[in-house]
Amino acid sequence: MTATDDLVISTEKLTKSYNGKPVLKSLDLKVPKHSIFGFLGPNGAGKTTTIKLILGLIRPTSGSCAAFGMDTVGNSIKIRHRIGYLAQDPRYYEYMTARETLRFTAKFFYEGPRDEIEARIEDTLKLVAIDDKADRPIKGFSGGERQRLGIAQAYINHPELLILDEPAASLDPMGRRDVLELMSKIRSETTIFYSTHILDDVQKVSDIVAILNHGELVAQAPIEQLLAGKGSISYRVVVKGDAASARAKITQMPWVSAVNAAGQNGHTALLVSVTDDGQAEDSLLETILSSGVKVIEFGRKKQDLEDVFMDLVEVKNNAS
Amino acid sequence: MPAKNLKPVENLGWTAGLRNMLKKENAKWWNWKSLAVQLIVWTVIVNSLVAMMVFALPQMPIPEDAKQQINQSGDAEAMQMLNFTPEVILDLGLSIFFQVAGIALLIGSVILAHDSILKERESGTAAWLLSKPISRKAFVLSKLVANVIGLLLIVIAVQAAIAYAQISIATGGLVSIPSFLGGVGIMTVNSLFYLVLALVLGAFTLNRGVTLGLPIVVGIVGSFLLQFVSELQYVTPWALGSMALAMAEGLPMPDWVIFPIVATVLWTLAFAGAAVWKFERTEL
Repeated sequence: MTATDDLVISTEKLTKSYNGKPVLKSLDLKVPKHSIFGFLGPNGAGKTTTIKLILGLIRPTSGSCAAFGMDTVGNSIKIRHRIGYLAQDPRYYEYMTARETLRFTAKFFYEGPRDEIEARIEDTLKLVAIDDKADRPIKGFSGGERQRLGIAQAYINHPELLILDEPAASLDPMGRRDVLELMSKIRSETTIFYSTHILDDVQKVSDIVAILNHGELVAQAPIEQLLAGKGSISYRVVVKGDAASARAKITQMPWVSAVNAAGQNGHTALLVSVTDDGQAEDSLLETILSSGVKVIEFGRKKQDLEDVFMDLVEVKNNAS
Repeated sequence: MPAKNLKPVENLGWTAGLRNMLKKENAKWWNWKSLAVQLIVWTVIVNSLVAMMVFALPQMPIPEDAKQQINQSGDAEAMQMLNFTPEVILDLGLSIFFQVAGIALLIGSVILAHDSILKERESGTAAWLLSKPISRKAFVLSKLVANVIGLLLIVIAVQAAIAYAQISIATGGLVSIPSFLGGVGIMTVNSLFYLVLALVLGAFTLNRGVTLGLPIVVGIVGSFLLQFVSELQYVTPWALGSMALAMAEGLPMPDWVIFPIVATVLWTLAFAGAAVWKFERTEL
């Protein structure tokens, strides 16, 4: 259980409805300090609505939302002073240059000697690799350049909480890699709460993941826990020889719940689902070898986030 | 360079972000390009007509048959006009300035202000800005203050000064400064009413037809309404146009002159308050 002081964002039964139709239903979200929190969900799940509620851009219909222990409705300005935010479709003043945009943004957060402000702007431009385009008007920027500027303006105040709504959406693979590296680099000084569709990225950098579907939280857990899953444990075995015999032998084991076979480069890949991991660890390989086949590969199958995401979202969709 | 001396902004109250926002809004008016455009456009619309009336018209020959007709009519005022005395030129100049400027400022201020809030809501920049530590009051106030100052100093003051200079030169210094300033003051109150109305409507609607059309309709329909419900002149800005001219001409003002001025100022403040109230509740 995380103590309240260790939480950057905390929501309780947070609900938002439009014209009586709920888009966010009784959300209980806990975002610990210094975590990289992946906020996942299909389109229309309510991710951006949640972010807007945290920022005070919209008001909850019921329930509460707190950031840094302060209610977001009554303390919105104080909270925003400690947040950096990149919108899903960021909009800026097109006539301003990137440097002017950062200068304008910076002045909402801090004051001090001009050269120090300019130095911070320069550092931030370099951090997101748009320092060579800093003095061009934004109206000529590509989608990727806009996204980099978006990250720069969100980070200009070195926020305690960085909220990124689809930060890698308009970026090429190198840009995505840069964003992930940046997130890893700044995690010691900030909490990162970000929504994305790119599950591979989430798996690479996140500590904790929450999955939202149709406005409801369907999962929230550390990523290892989520990947370990609650379903059956599987082993992947690639065999050479009489795979049918091996399969028949394995199926007889009481702790095996299912065996699926598929051809793979002249060999056979078996996916063995088990109900008792201890028994499987002790006896599965031995049982297969006793059938006379040669084992080319053997290992526990790791679930990836996409499997977990699809399972959770599809189960929910089927149930509704 | 380590940012040793950077300090967090401490003002996180209702004026949070106001100074920075105001600077940005003022920059839209106070740059060379904008100043040049405003000067040229408004001078062409307002003061070129004044110049024609006070300099060109008196030089134009009057056809003999027109002269004869006027003389035969016995209309003393019309006969006086034929001579283009300084007094006649003064009346002409003031009349054309206050009438043309009154209409031009109504339409022009509405065009300038109608999308100031609306455009930011529509484009998403309002949502971006308000994800920063800016109060919603500061957001609305920055737009009101910058537009009011811009219209007042860059448009009204400059055009009034040009008109004053032209009419003074043409009449040999007959314009009374207090009367002229009084007239300009009333015209300013009138213009700011429409400017603020157009601007605040952007907090209520995203329909440009409404923010652009409604203030102009209010201005035009209102002056017609006065002919049927004369009591409206006490509580609306609709009589201010003619009052401004009368004041500038040094005509005696009615006892109730202060009522429409105060009422218009109150309406303007009420609109501004309503915009702040509404914008505080607007979801972005």
